[in-house]
Amino acid sequence: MFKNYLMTAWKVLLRRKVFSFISLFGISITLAILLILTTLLDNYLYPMGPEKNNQNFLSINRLTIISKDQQSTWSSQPGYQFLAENVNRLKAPEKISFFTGFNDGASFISGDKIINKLRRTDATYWQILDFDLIHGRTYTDEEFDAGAMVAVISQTTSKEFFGTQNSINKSFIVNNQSFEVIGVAKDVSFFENIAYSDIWVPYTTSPSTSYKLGLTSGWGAMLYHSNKNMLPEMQSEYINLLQEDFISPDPEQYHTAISGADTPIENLARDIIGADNYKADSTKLITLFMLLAVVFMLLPSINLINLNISRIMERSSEIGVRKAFGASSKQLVFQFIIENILITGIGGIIGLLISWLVLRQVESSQLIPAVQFSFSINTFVYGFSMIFVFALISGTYPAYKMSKLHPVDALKGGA
Amino acid sequence: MLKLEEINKTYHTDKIETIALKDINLTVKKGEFISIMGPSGCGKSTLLNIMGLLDAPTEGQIKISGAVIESYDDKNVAQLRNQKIGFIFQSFHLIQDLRVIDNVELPLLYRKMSAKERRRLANQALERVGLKARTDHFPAQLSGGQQQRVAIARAIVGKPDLLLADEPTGNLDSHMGNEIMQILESLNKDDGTTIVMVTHDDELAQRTERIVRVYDGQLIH
Repeated sequence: MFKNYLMTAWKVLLRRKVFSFISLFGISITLAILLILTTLLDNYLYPMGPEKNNQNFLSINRLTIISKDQQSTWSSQPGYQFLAENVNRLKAPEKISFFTGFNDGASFISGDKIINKLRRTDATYWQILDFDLIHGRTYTDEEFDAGAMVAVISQTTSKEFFGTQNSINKSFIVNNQSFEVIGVAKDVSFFENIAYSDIWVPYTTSPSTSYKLGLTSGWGAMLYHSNKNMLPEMQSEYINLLQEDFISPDPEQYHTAISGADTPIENLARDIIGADNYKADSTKLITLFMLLAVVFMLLPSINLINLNISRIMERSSEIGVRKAFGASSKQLVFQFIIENILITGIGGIIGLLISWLVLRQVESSQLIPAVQFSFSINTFVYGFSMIFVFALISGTYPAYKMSKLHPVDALKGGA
Repeated sequence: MLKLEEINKTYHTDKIETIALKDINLTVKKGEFISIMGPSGCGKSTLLNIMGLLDAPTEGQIKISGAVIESYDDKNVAQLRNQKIGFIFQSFHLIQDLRVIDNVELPLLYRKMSAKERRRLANQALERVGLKARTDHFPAQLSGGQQQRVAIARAIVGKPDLLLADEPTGNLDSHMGNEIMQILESLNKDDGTTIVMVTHDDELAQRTERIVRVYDGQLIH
């Protein structure tokens, strides 16, 4: 029976080439766009680089400060002072790391100015994140405490500064400071926004100590625990600390601190939906994404529904014959949904191919720095789930309409 | 085999009521070959559709093999049609996208039967109508007469109790029409198949055991 359905579906697909092309085009493009977005999200949530253990740490990257009279509000990244005086007092994390965002670092090579991304971190940063070192090592606590002028640079930066030679122990200048290369790391994807940079140096090498002042802007923190089940406890402790025991340099002006220690999805929710909560609403974000995906799929689905209905009318004689020889409405609905799954399945495979080609192109063009997309098993699961949903949305109503055709009318060739 | 009692069929549109069949009482005995004749629009096809459970009567009762059709529920009538009735249509109604063998297998798809058994029975039915050599052809590759023979194979493959033929030779020339009629006669005589055939052709009707005439939705005795 199944073979008969598939054979009919295949023949119908070949018989109406223009119709099939329009159907497949709509399905392929929609699914390709959805798959590209899903892959980007997947690469953000489940990175393959240094942040691959992101199930074991939380990040603090937003802080809102409100004055006592509630007339003033500051909302940005946290500042070093806030982290040092507050986050540092947390007991639940096994490790806490502070680091700056990635800033521009200017260097000159043969008289040409080049800009790299420069991030200043502590030594714990290297213990939490899992960098892939090609040469050398990362800086130690001792080097960090001593403010040693050492740097880890990315593979591409190493090539840029020193060509193909081994760059360990060589020096370079960035933002008028000279550093010695002690390690070369594999390039980090832009999507790994805690790890991403070209040059990493101890923040104790900052030209001045002014970074130590300021509750907001420029910094981030990671809270690590080897047991991922401890993450909720770390989140609660952080919220309690802010609500009960927030240390402020000026309690009148900087009275209330609102911030959260976020998982990657919460981090994204905080960026997209809003930053002014202790707990980022990731459920809302997931609902929003799913809603957008459904709305996005709805338009081509409506198009496909229309095309499917007109195709059914062309096939009314077949429907009449099948009914006359014993097909029940339920069997016909099943047949038509199988046919639709075949068409959307083909469209889906083309869509997968398109998205793979586009992502490969994005990778090789370096439109997004150092990005490497992986088509994980997740992507295939998402992809085929989308195809299935698409097939159901666009197939069920026409199938129902078809099954309700009266056999006598269907045999006459109309509804 | 088939008994129609006090069958009425009325079609309603917004304002008009059309009586298609009125007080039809008809019995078709097992192994009988009857023809239904009458002018166009007299209700012949409606009568055949009601006999084949493709349409429900407005009033009246149908008995097939002694059992009253009590429910016209989709699943119930689909199963009855599949088990007990075979159809032959004037315009063949073969599925153009399927090969001959797959067209013939169609009624068996809706039964619990292995693919191997389906194939065996379909081959047997095609052999019965002399088209064993055409199993892998598509309908468009066959002549009208051959297509109708495929349609007959499809109608008999499930060994139905009753074969309903709606002007089976209407789209064929007299030579091919005669061939089809010979196959129907052979099915009736050799296999004992009960056949009800709607026809306009008086000569063909004369070859059946009994002629039922319909005029303005009523049987004329």
